Amino acid sequence: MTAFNSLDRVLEWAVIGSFVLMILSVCLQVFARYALPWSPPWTEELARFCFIYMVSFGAGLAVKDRSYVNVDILLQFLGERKKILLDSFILILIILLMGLMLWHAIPLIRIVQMQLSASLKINMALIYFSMFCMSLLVILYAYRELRKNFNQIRNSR
Amino acid sequence: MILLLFLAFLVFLIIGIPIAFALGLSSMVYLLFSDIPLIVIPQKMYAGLDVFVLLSIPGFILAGNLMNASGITQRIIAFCNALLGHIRGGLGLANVGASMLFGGISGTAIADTASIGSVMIPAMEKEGYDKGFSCAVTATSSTLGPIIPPSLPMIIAATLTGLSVGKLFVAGIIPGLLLGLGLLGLTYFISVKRKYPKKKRASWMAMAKSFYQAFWALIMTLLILFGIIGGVFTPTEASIVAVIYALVIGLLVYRELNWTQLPKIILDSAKMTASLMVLVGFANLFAWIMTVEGIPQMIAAGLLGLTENKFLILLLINVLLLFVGAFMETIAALLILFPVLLGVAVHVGVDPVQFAIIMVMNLVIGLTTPPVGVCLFVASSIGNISLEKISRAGLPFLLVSLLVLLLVTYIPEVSLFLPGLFYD
Repeated sequence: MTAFNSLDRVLEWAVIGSFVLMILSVCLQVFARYALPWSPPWTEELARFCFIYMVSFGAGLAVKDRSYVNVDILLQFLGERKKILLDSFILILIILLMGLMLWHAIPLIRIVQMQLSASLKINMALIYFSMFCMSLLVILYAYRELRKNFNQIRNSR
Repeated sequence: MILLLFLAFLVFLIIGIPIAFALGLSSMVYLLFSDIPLIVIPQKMYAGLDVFVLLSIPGFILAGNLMNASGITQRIIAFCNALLGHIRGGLGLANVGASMLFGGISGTAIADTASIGSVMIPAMEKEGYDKGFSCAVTATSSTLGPIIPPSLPMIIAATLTGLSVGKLFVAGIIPGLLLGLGLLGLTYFISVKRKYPKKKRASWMAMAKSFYQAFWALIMTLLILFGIIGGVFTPTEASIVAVIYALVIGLLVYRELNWTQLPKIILDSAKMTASLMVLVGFANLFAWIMTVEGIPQMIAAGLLGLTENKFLILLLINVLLLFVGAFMETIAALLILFPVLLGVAVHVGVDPVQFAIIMVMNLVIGLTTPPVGVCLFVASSIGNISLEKISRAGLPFLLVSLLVLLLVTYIPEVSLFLPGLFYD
């Protein structure tokens, strides 16, 4: 679990960093429009890319925090053990979906690597790589929750 | 085929899969049975996120959280108490008033229920208000949050259809005020009937002091609104300006915020944004499949086949949306249904801006109705009473919400007067 804990820290700072960079970039955009003689053309693009990476890095942490909204009518009627089993089943389905997304993000990244972004001239493969990160991180954190569930079931026996 | 998509979605939803992944999984099931290449999964996710207006969502969430951490909630409540406390049912009235002011800095209803409820529900209980009543007032009045600008659902609605966020924000003002006044009226009426307590009138000095304390929250709302309306900045820029404003107020004016709290507040806002955006991304995929299958046209043809009467179509749509809103989370429902139903509404001559307000109001009403009403859940857990009790106490409030919805639906001026004034 220590590897996971350090991953937590790295991701938390990556999320905060991209959020702050996004804020600064939009601030510069407003400030430049009213106070500087010229405005850099790349602020909107930079802010958008930061946003996409912030979401991708945060998507895994949100699994850990259980931030995704769900309908828990059925879950309320289940016993503790059945609840954990159903939750594990759900986590496996999520891993399946994100696995498929991960797998198909690779050819997508290959396709766009010939393009450069409009104003920053960054290779678009670098930006689409966020989709790879998002799927991988959600899988990792769903797997971690799954392991927690297994430990809980083993301990309750 | 398309039946498969919807059936799979419903099953996934009911067994408790988070809505974001339920949308993704049902799309996946559909794609596996079709000959569309699966590369559309990451593609549509990316396309769903690569939209500049969406950046205003983390901005407004962070600005709201920063204001909350600066103790703005207590100040708003203190001000409303000073203003309304001497009237019968003063605490109940202050609860509604605080929600109206709070709605101007937060864009969601849950944040409103949680932060105002945790202060007001215990306070009302101590003064002898019925618990169900206190929880119901809190939950219902918090639905003002997404109607009074800024509003996350309206940002989403604008993103989906290319409508102007500013116009939608402005269009929500009168309906929000009407709903607020309606709820104030009902609270007063019930309080008089049940002889709920009133307090001594606050001195002018105390009132002025509490106004000065809450004043900075009001300024933030005005800054956002007039900044957008006046074309000083775009909605995204407005949200970031609001963040900077909240930072300055929290750090320098109220001095309750300090630098060490910032990383956690930013992180929490980012995680909330991330979970919302994964939902937006997968909903984009789901909506794309619906378009490929021609579902919007089918639903439009089905509805318009029943009747072409504007009055009846709007009634049908309202009933449908109230039903959906009772089961589905606001933003998910908006993402799937808004583009679909907008076509029908426009066909019978409803203005898209008015329709956006109708739709958002319908869906937020669902936040306070069982079985899936998040605001009810939050209020009932704060007040520690059963869902059944709070739902029953909430019935009269629900009627007021429906009445305002009816006004917004059938009198276009209610939503369109202000946008017309500022924009045309």
